[in-house]
Amino acid sequence: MNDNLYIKETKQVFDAIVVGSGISGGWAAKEFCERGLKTLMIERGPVVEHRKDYVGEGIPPWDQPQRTKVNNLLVEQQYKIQQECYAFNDATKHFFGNDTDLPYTTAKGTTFSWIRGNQLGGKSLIWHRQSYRLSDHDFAANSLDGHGNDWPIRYKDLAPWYSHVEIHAGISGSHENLEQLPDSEYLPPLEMTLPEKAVKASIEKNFPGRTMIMGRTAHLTQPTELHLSQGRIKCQARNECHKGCSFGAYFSTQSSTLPSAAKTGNLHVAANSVVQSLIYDEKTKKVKGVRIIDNNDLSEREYFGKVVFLCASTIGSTQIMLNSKSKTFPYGIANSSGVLGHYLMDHNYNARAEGDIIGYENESYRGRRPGGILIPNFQYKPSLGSKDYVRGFAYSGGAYRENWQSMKEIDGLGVSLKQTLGQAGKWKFNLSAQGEMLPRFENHIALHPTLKDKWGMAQLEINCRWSENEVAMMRDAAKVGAQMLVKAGLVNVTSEATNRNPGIAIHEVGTARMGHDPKTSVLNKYNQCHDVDNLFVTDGASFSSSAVQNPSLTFMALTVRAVDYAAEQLKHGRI
Amino acid sequence: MNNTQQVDKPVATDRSRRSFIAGITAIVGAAATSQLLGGNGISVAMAYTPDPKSAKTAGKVFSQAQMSQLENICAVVLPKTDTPGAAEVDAHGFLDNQLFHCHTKGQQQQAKSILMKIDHLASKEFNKQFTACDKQQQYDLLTSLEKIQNGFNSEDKKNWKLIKGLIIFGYYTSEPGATQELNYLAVPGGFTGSVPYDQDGKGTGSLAYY
Repeated sequence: MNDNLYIKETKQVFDAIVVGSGISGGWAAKEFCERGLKTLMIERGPVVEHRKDYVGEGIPPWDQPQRTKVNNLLVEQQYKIQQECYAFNDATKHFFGNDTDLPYTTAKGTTFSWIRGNQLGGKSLIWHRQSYRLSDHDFAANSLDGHGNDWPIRYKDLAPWYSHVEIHAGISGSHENLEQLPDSEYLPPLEMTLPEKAVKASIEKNFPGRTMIMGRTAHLTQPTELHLSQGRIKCQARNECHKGCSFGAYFSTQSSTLPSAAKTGNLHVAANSVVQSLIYDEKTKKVKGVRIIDNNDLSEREYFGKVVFLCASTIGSTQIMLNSKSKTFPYGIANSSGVLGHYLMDHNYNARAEGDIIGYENESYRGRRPGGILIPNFQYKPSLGSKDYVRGFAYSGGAYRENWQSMKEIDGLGVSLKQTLGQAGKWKFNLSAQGEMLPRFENHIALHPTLKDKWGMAQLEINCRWSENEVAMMRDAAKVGAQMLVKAGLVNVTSEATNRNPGIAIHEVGTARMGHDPKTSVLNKYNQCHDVDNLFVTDGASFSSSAVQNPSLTFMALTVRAVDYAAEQLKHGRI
Repeated sequence: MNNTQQVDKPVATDRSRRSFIAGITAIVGAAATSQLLGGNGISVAMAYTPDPKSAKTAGKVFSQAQMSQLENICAVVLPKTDTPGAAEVDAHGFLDNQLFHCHTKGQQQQAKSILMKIDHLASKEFNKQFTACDKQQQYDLLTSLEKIQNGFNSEDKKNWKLIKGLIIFGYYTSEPGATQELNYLAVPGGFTGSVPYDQDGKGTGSLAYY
């Protein structure tokens, strides 16, 4: 462990600078450090120490100021957007950005919910931990139907790197041998409940080609020696993950990658350092460092390195690039193609179906499972697709017994009400769709011409909307979800397509896409800028399509693969 | 960042969290002992502490008379059985505090207006205030409200659901509600997908979060 892990001023020229400390940044730092390279991890927000700074964790509701609810005035003034996130509450709010400090605009007639996690660990502290590989069907989708550009990689390029990150992070799941959802290196899956098994059997019998599996999550259902050596233990099924987990039972930067990186002695961390822009050297045609505005006192400083990895979140990384203007790159660094900022995508969470399960009154479950079931995309290639739209969707969901909280609205008073609320209610089952969003040039982010934030950084204007394809897909997802539940014997089945903002899935990807052609893409197949050899972008900004799967595992795999490549290039003096 | 704008006094005790960290340390053998509330400025507001006398003084939203009326309502909604009821855990005091901190002025007004309506119809029906009615009369009156009868309208029922929902929330998130009436499982130890449902054992298990 490095005695001076946290630094502020330094003249050192690092081998690698990693901007961001979330899921991607943590992996980049770990991999560089373990290759013996002196690495600086830059984080715009404050330090969050594992365990010590999980200040909302383990406090029973009666000891919380408003029993988990957030003060109304505070929400109004500082968290108007962040509170749209399901994980936002009084015990997690300090892991969400303050909307007052982080303004952005949306183009007329558009909306976008930009959820932020600006602290050491980033959104790895508050993610939903769903972990899925992309398949060749996903990597080929753009080339097959002509939307977006072709990914410059295929599954075989990423497969060994998926394995690499999965073994370290710990991914629970079941072997399914599905061509659209390749298997991972697994810890045992979370358990299904009996009603879920019944719904699964019904779907698989009545709808050939569809399957229902246990969701794959970055939880230690059965830690290995490697995980124990990271100071992590088995998941205790509290399902309070977003407060931070002192058991280290889910993957986060703090629980998993940061300790490994720090252990090498090669890591430094500069927290409270808002990267304003990259310093481009016109002579060498390389990035030589980053310009920082201090998060707290707004003073300026610079850090220098031989290679720079942007892992500052999809929109954050691209914002830095757009703001890095030079003679060669007047419209943002590495933007000779003109596509930087374009092809913004999210997942579409706009259809749901639910119903009541009959029976199972004497059946229950114990503990709070930190994840649910998954019905993988069954329209994963054009021949299986709908006539009304291209691409497909998956469903997540699960069965649960009602409790006092979901029964709060029922009529009744007195002893009988108390008896009802004190017991488990009927079984319910829900499905929520997660649809692919097409890459479209029109959906983009750009620097606002005049507005700046408190660090003097140009604000972003986000221009993003669902297309008719996404709307049609969600209408279908609501209908199809209800059909499956009715067929499975559920009653009181309801379903609807909704109109939630893009962004709220917090799966934003694209805006600095990978591609074969430097004229139409920002990054090559190693997440390296076509225009600037020593600049890499390995977070979601690099995606060429959104696919249907939750993207974080792919952030990890792309990142470690890019580090392996960059470290080789550095060693041979090629960058 | 602070959320003390409407909060009476800051406080620095969080015994439960301290013992939680001690427990963790024992399990994982890591140095995780420091006592914090620093760094990122989490709320240092005090949790609402049940007060046996809260019906005898004015609250932050409600008058003293309304606090007393609410206490009576709590006793009808979730009465004392072999476990404490909503009135015993001061769900009325909690409700007043919660409405003040976490709800809009409009919702506070909704809550006040339904209390007035209940009192108004108590006077009309029984010729006395709600608090002076006997338990049966109170029960009948609130049942009429839920059934939208005897002078209550659907707007009243909407306002009532706000109050009733907060009473239920306040009760089951109180220490007695969560730990005596339910089975509080702070650290379940793992997830088991199939167990027999045990009514006597309060098999539901309370969530440790809401």
